[in-house]
Amino acid sequence: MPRYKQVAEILRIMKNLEQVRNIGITAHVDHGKTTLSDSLLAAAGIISEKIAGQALALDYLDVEQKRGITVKSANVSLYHEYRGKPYVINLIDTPGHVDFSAKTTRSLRVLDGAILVVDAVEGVMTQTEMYLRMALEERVRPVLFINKVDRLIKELRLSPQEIQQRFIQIIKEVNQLISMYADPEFKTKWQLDPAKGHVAFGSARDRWGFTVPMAKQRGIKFSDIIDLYKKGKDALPELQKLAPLHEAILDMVVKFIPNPREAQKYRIPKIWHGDLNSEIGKAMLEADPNGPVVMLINDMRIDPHAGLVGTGRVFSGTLRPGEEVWLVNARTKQKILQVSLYMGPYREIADEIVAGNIAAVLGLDKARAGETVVDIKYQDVIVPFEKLRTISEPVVTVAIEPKNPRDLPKLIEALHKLSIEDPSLVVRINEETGEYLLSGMGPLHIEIALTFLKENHGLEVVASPPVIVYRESIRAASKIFEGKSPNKHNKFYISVEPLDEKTIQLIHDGIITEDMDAKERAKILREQGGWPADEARRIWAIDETINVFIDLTSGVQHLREVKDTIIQGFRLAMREGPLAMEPVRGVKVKLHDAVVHEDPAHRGPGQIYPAIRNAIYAGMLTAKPTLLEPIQKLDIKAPIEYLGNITTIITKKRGRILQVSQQGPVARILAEIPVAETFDLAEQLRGATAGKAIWGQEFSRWAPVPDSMLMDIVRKIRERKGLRPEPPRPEDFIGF
Amino acid sequence: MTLYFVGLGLSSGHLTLEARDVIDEADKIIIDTYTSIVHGFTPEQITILNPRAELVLARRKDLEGRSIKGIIEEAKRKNIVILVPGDPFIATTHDAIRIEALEQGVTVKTIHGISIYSVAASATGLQIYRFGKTVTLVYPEAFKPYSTIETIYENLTRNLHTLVLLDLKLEENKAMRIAEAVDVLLELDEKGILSKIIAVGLSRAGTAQQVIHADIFPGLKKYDYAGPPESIIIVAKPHPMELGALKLIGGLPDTVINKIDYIYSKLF
Ligand SMILES: Nc1nc2c(ncn2[C@@H]2O[C@H](COP(=O)(O)OP(=O)(O)OP(=O)(O)O)[C@@H](O)[C@H]2O)c(=O)[nH]1
Ligand SMILES: [Mg+2]
Repeated sequence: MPRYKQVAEILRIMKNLEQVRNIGITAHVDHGKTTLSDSLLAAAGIISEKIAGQALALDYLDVEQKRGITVKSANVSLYHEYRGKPYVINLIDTPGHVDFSAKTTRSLRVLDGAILVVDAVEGVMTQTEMYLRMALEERVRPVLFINKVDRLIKELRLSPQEIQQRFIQIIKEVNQLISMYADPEFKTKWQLDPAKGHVAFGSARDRWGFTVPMAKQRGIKFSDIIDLYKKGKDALPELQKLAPLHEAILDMVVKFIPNPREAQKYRIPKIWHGDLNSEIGKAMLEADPNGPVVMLINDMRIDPHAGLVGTGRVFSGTLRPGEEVWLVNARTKQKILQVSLYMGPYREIADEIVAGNIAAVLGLDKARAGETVVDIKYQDVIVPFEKLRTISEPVVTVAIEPKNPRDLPKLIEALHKLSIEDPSLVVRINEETGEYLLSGMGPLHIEIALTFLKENHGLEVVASPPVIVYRESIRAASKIFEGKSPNKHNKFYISVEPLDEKTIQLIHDGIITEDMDAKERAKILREQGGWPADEARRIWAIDETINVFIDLTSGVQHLREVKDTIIQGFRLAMREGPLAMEPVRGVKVKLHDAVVHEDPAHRGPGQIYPAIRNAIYAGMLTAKPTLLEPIQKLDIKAPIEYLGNITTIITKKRGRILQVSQQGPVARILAEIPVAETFDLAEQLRGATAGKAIWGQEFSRWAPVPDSMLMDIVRKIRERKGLRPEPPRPEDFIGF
Repeated sequence: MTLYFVGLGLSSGHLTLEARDVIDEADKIIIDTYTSIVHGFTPEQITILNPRAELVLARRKDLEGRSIKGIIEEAKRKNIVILVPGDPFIATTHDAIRIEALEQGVTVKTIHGISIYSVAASATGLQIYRFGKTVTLVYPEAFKPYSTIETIYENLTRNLHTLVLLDLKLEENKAMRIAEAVDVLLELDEKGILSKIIAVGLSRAGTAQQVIHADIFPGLKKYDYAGPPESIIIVAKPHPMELGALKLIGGLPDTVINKIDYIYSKLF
C-alpha cells in the first residue's frame, strides 16, 4: 500500500476516536521493545518488511543503532484492520535503561495503554516493575507480551510443559504487581487473563506471536512451533504466516486498550486536578474536538531543518496551524506554525489533529517537556497537569572542556540543545574553575551525552572521570544565628532544622510545590506532614533540591521589598552547602526576625545574599551536618550456587541484602548499594558468577554516608573543587 | 593611635585645611573608591600631600565584612585615614567601622566634608526645612523599588520635597543618569502623580561643572547634563521664594510657573 494514501487515510480515521489507540511499549532494558516496534512498523507498511528484523527503524539515532540501546522515545502511527474495521494506533517506543527513565515516564502521560514486554528468559526485572508501576499510577492499562520465546526453545531447550510453567510464573508476577500498584478500581479489572487474550507469546526478532484465543481460532499448537524451529531458518516464513506477530499484538491492543475518549474519562481526574465541571474539565473528560485546545507536551526535539519540534497529546479541542496558544509553565504565548503526525522518524504535515491523538507541533520553541499548552482565551483559568514523578536523580557528574579552546562557544550552544532535548541532563558552570559540569542519571547517561556532542555537533571534548554528586544535610535543629550583611546594617535571625521524611516525600512527589495555592499547601502540610499551623502558612520558597524557607517574622520594616532578594539568597545558599559546596537537601530554614536598612542602596543583593547565607551556613554547621550519598537498588538473578559470592560482593561494597527468593534453580536477590561503589560492579558480578548473573539497577534514595567516612569524603570533594581541604567552622560565618 | 574619617567633599577642591593636616600625619591612607565620585580627584593628589604613607585604593570588600577587624587592629598601632566622598557618615556606609572601633577603645576622629545633602538645598534654592526623607533610586534589578515611590508620596502628602539620589554601582561601571531615572520612576508611579509636578535635575552638584534644570518631571529628560553623580529633587508646592530660585537658577519655564496653583491643587 503506497504511503501517501495511508497518511490521508490515517488522518481521516484519527477523527473517529473509537478507531484510535494510544499505546507505548515498555520493558526492562534489552527485553525487545524496539525489535517489537519495528516488526509492528513493518506490518503497518511504513518500512519494508524485509529489513524490519535487523534495521531497528525506531532506534534512528546513530548512537542507538550502534549500541543497540534506545536513548530517546520515538513516535509512529500504525494502521491496523480488526474485524474489517480500520484503526490508527499511535505508538511510542520508550527506552528501558534506567538512565533514560525520564523519557519513559513522560511518554506514559500521553498514553492510554502499554504493551509490557518481558523477556521469557530473564523474567520480570527491576525496570519491568518500575515502568509497570509508573504506568499504573498514570492509569495506563497494561497488556503483556512475553518475548524471546525462541530462546526458550533453541537455547534452553525447554519442553512445552516447562515453557508453559515459565509463562504462568511471569503472568503471576505481573498480576501481583498490578494488584499491588493499580488504583483500587482497576486492581481486579486489569488482571491479565491469558485465556481471554490479554497476553501474547512470541519472538519479536523472528516476528511470530499468538494469544490463546488466536491459537484456538487458528489451531496453533506449541509443539508445532517447536517442530518448525527444528527445521531451522527456512521455516521462519512459515512460522510468521502461521502466527503473525503484528496480528497477535495489534488485535490485543484494539480489543483491550481503551480508545482515547473512554480512557480520558478516568485518566483526566488522575492526571489533572482542575475543576472537572469547568468548561475545560468537561471538554477533556469527553476528548471534545470542539472544546478549548489543551495539549500536553511530552517531548521536545531539535530537528536540524525545522528547529524545535514538540510532541504531545491533544486532550481537548483541535490543533491547527496559525492558532495562538498559551504555554502555562513558560508563561508566554506562542503561535502554532505547523501540525503533523508521526510515521517512524518522519513527520507528515496535517491540517488539523483532533483531541485524543498524539501530534507534533512546530512554533512552540519556548515549550519544554512537561509543558501544558492551552487555547489563549483560557490562559487565566487553566490548571496545569499534575507534576510528573521523577524516579531517578542526576547523581553522576563529569567536568568537560573542549579539546580545542576555540570551540567553547560551540560547546555551550550544544550543551544548551542537549538539555532541551533531555531535561534530566543538568549543565552547570563551576564559577571558581570555569569548568562545565554535566550531571546525569548514571555513567551511561553521561557517556551517551558525550557521544552526541561528538557525533551530532562535531565536538571533541575532554571529560574528567565521573564523580558522584552528594547532598548536604543536617540531623539536628540549630539555635538562632544572626546573619549580618557586610555593611552590618541588615541582620537576619535564622535557624535551621531537618525536614521530616514525610514532607520530603510530599515535595518530591510534587504534591507540595512552591507555586501551588498557599492555603491548600498549608492544609496538606498540617494534615499529612504534621506541621504547626503558623509555619505551614508562611512558606516563602521551596527549592528544587527540597529545602523550605519559612518567614516567621512580624512587622519588620521594608521586609516586603527585600523578600525576593532574601529568597534568592536562600536558593543560592542551598545550591552549594557549607561542608563541601554540594547541593543541600532536606533543610527547613526559618527566618525569625530581621533588621533592614532604611535606604534601598544599602540593602541590595550584595548585602542580603551573604547575610542570609552566613546565618544558614552557621546554623547547618552546628546541626550535625552530613553528606547524603545516592543509593542504588539492585535486582540480581543468578543460579543459586552463586548466592554466596554475590552476597560477599554486596557486603564488601557497603551494600545490604534486602530480600532473597528462589524460583527453581534461580535466586533473585534484592539489594541496596551506594552508587559510589558501583563503578566496577558489573565486572565483579560477572567475575563472581562466571557471567551468569543478570541484574537491573535503579536509583533508590539518599542516605547519610557512614560517619567514619564523612570527613574523608568531604576533604576529597573540597580538594577536587580547589578548596581548602578542611570545611569551614560556624565561627567563620558569624560574629565579624 | 587614631582612626580618622575624612570627608573629601564633592570635588577635588573641597579638601579642608584640617583634612590636609591629618593626611600629612597618616601612616596609612585608605581611599574609598566605590561609594561616590569626587570630581577631579586623583590619588596622586594625596601622594603629593604625604608621600610616606601607605596608600590603599579600597573596593567594597576592603571596607566591609571581615575586613573591618583588620583595619581596627591596625588603627591600634598606627594613624589611619579613611578618605570618603562627601561627608563621612551621612550615607551610613562606614558606620560599622566607627562603632566597632569605638567599642574596642580606638580613638576615632571625623573631619567633615561638603555633602550633597547641603549642596542640594543651597544650589537650587529649595529650603532645607522643606525636605522630607531622602531616598536612593536603585536599578530595578533584584527587586522593584516600590519603597522609593512610597517615600516620595509620603513626603508629598506632607508638602515636603524629596531628594532622590541616583544609584552608583562604580564597581560594575554603572551610574544611573537622570533620563533613565525618570523612566524608572514613571513606571513605579502607579498613582500617576509624577507626570504633572515639578522636579529638579541635578548633575555634578557642588562642582565647577554643576548643571541644574527645573521642569515638569518628565520634561527633565530633554536636557543635557554633566554626568554622574546625578540626583533629582521631587518638588512639593514651592514657596514663592523657592519658585523664584527655580526660575532663575533652574530655568523653570514660565508656562509651568503660570499653572503652579493648578498643578498642586489636587495631587492625590
Ligand atoms: N532471541 C531473540 N532476541 C531478541 C528478540 N527480541 C529482541 N531480541 C534481541 O534483544 C536485544 C535487545 O533488543 P531491543 O529491541 O533493542 O531491546 P529494547 O527493549 O528496545 O532495549 P532498550 O530500548 O535499550 O531498553 C537485541 O539484540 C535484539 O536482537 C527475540 O524475540 N528473540
Ligand atoms: Mg529500545
